[in-house]
Amino acid sequence: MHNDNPDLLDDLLAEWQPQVETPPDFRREVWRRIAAETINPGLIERFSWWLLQPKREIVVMTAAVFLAVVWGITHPPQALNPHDAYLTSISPFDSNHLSLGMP
Amino acid sequence: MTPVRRIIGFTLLTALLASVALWITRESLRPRDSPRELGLSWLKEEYNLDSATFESVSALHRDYFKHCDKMCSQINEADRPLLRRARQRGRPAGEHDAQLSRDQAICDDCEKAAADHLRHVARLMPQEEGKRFLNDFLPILDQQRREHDRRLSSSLRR
Repeated sequence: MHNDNPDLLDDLLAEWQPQVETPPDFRREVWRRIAAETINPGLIERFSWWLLQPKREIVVMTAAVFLAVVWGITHPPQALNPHDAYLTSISPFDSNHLSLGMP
Repeated sequence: MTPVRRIIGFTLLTALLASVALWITRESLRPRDSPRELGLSWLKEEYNLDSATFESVSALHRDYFKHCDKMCSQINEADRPLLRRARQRGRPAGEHDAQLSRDQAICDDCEKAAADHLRHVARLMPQEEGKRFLNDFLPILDQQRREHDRRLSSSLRR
């Protein structure tokens, strides 16, 4: 809000120069206090920051997809036993027989 | 977004991609032969059929499968025991017995068709192989029929 009657104290404050000697390690002490207040990140957070770099993300994703493909190749779907397949196809009492003729 | 949330999202996305890759790989390796084709190929190898015999055996199977599909759709159209039980609770016992007899008649036809088919196939094979073929499959057919009847009567009794 704009004040039409400026406070006289404003001018005095503007002119005021504090005559205080700062100790020589003042800045260092300020940073030490800031550092002391900062919460130390946990292991997960540190790992997250390490991992979540674009290049590392791509490498991890590619590795996961590659491993999945390798696992799929080395563990193919169980092939139907040919003897059982023949039995299913000719025996009307086989538990899977009815599904064969259905569209 | 916090790093923990980001890593959870990243893990889920990676797991999704890996699952899709795994599914595509396994599906592309799944055998495409139907059980009928697979079974016929096995029959040729197992009973040492030459090409001409295998052709005749295959033709016989094709006819049998056509006949079999018709009978299977009859079975599917008929009331199944569990459905029948749910629908017909409180109906007279005589109707149950009549339905059971109809089911048994269809099963008898199916069993006879299967046994006749096996005997026809055996006749096309070399004598020793034909005998071995019948010894391999007729007892299984008989056993499966008995198990089927046992299941049918126990589901009706419940």
